[in-house]
Amino acid sequence: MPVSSLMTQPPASPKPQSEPPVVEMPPRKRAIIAVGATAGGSALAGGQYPVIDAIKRGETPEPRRHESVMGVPSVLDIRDFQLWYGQNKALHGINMPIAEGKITSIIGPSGCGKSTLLRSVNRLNDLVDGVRTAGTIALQGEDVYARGVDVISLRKRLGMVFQKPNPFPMSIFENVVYALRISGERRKAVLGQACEKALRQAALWDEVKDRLKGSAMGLSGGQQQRLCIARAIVCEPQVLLLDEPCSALDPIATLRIEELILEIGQRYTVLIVTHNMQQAARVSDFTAFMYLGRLVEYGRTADIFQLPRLRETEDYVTGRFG
Amino acid sequence: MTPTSAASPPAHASGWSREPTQSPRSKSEAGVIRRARIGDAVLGWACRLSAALIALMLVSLIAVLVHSAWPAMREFGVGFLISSEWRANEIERPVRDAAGQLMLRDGEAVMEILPPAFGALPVIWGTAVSSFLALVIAVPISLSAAVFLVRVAPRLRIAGAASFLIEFLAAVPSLAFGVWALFVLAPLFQKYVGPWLHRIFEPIPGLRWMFYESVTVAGRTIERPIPLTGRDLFTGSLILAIMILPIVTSVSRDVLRAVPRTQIEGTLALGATWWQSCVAMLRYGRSGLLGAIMLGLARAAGETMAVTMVIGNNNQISPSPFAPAQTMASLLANEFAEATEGLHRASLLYVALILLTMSLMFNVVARRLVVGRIASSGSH
Repeated sequence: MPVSSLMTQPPASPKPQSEPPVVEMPPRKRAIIAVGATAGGSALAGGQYPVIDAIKRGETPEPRRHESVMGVPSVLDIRDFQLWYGQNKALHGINMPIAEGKITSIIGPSGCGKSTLLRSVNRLNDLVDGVRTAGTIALQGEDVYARGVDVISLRKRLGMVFQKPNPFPMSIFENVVYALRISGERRKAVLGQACEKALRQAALWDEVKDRLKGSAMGLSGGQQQRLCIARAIVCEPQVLLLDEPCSALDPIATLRIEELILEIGQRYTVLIVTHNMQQAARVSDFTAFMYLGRLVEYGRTADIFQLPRLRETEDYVTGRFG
Repeated sequence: MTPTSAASPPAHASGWSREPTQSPRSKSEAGVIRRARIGDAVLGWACRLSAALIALMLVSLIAVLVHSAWPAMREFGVGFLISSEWRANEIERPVRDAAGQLMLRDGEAVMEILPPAFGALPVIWGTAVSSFLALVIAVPISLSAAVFLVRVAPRLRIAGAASFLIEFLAAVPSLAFGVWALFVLAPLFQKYVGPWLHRIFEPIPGLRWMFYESVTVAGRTIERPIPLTGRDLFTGSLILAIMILPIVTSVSRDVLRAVPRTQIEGTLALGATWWQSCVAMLRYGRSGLLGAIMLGLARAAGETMAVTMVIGNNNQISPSPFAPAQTMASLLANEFAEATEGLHRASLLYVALILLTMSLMFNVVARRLVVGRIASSGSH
């Protein structure tokens, strides 16, 4: 049914007629009402979002993975990955390869498990009490959840940037070289070079080169976030994980970080979680749409935003649902 | 005044509870509100008065101390702080020349009379050294315990029980610690730990001062081993350390708990080991932890009963931690009841004033560091 192009679908939908009274509401609210009504068993729209409805019933429908994304060489391969927080299952059988040297974004409404998935890659979820996993996440062919994996050295191969800038309370220089320091690097020349290189790549060098000894806490929010990016790439990670890196920043700082992500994407594989659809569209090569712990659709960003195969994806990326 | 304040709080309380649900309609309703307004005013002034009373108490405490200590302050001035003489009664003793020989006149020793004199240096020294040693012993244990409470205990689901036990330690009366120290710690040190430390450290060159003291007897200076009684500066410091553990641990725990999760995750995501992430956590909370240590210091400096029981109460300055000593608080506890002579009493109160000033300073600095840190990390 919905495998055909989206262009044929909107006319077939009874939606415009069925809910005029709530059209004035913000799209998010309206969608929740519509979905809730459907799930509650009302005849509204008669299965307007069959995939979402199936997910809400607790099923795990086969996601629409476009051929374009399955053929490319991958650096990270997520296979049938599941995760539980205690009794709650947060991720259901995620299957998605992450293309090497590309920028892949994960979008979806709050609570869809996108951050959980990201934090599963560098096993930061290990810190949470009562987390269990099943399935595999293979970084260059090696399962990160295999027995005997050294989590410390695994994390050194992955960089991560968080929602809120989290510079450490030390100098800018020490922030950038922290990963090298904790690996025991002491040579000043090596540290200095690495620091300059990382700061240049993070487009921060010119702004801070005269105050490397100054406290990182004195930087602006956007600068702090670029510092965190510099800190994450100082060891040349195989994958850079970005967890909503702009959600705490103003629009101008956001724009700069987006430009930076595009530039960094030339060098590194980037996996970015965002709740900002425009951001996903602007920066990424591939986009995955998640809902309630399931992968729903995964393909080239251009396809996801312009030719999605699912009605759900189209309505989500255009802001009509979710 | 009294009948009004006794009757008003209930009216005030009912006025509050009704306000959100009902709007004024009837006359009785208006009466309730009027009464509530009076209640508000009375209660407000009662609160202000109570708060003022507390401030007044502190001010009057300082004023009374200064007033009572005034004779000693006038007599000794600031020199009180650096003088190490403490003679409650005048002494008559033979005069000796530079070589230590008795000066004779007509076949009899010439006598001199030393008037009473008071100086606080020995007790300042005793307080400073015992508090410092207590911190040296307590801080590593407290910080480790705080890290355990924040990073390990929650996973083992014993954080609540462990925190309770540590805070319970703070509620144990000082006297109980003192009795325990006197009957358990002191004999233990006298019989086992002291001799054992003696055996280990004495052969080390440069550590002789720990076990030997010079005394002048009849004009000659001799060196003799310090008798190990188990009631000395070291035992006093140890009991102090035990007594400040709870406060340092629980304040450090609160400081570390306020370290943002993203800070710890940030270090871990960069490949930090558990230990390295703990170091980063301690560094983030460093000023708050310093405040916790200052609170412990203030507590140690002011602690009286337990210390008095085991520190030996000897008003002298000895470099050795195994010699008996005296702290400001133990001096007051020991001598105040017997201090009948005016200057003696005034000198003791002068010591009390110094102690109060020091404790106030430690507390102010500590509060600043702790409150500032927790508030700023909350806004991150």
